[in-house]
Amino acid sequence: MRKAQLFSEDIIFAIVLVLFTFSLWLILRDRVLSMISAGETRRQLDEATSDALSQLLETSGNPANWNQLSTIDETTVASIGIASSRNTLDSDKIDKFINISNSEGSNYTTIKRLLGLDRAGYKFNFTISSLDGVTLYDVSRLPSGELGNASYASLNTTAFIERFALLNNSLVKVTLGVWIE
Amino acid sequence: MNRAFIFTLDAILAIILCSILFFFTYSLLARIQYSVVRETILTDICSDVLTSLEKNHTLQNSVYYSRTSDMRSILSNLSSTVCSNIIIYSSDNKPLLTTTRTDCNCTASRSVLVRSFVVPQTNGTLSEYMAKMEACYK
Repeated sequence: MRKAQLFSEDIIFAIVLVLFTFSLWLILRDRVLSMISAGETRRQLDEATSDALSQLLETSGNPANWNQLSTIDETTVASIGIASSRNTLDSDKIDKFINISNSEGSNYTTIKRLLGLDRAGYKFNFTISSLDGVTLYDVSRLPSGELGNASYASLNTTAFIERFALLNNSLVKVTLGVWIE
Repeated sequence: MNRAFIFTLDAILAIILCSILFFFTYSLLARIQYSVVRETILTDICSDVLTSLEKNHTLQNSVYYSRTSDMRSILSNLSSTVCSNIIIYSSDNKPLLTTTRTDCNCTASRSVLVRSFVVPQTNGTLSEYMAKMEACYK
């Protein structure tokens, strides 16, 4: 056996093996990091949506007559809710909430803050419909570039939650969608 | 025997094992679901439905008239991805009325919620009942 043969075969093969294993580890590490990041974003989105919808359906807001105030912002209202009591919706509050949310600019931003949806890029829409699917109220906003709920409901940057409540003594479906733009 | 022969076999075995481990871990990670509130939402739905049915007197009327049609109508119009049933028990835990959404099979764990309610009797007394709602995803 010549003296250089061991180095040129075994060591080079070992280096190739180490590089191969290292590259596998790098790929796996990137995948795990991206999944942790996506999971955390998704968790925050789901929790924010669930909390906001609970606030709307289970509380009357603070103060309870927030819908009668002339100015609605963070200095006059601590939180908003559209229920007169748990799971019983108040149509006056719904009207006010829908009007403000459908207006452009700072009003929409104020509502987002009062619902706890104030993270960067969060947007929301909101629908109240009868159980047979007739839309009664809605905040008609959609993510840019998408056509409707069905097309973006499955994306990881979108959360849609359905709950149920009484409106005029009838059970209605209330849907809150939140997405990141 | 060639001196490098054993080393090469070991190395090849290591590469194979490493690759298997890598692809197994990768496929496992790809199957992870992000959503963390799915089970909580089921409980919320049960709570919403039972609270609403009690407030608009559907539960009380169902017991009073011994009918399940109102509850069945509501269960069948809930979210298309949710299977559910409602059982009403008397105060001594005997099932009185059972309503189940038809054509619906659960594929995941169930959420269960129980709510008690009272029904006024003709003699002026109040009788206590319990409504148990189970919900799960299709």
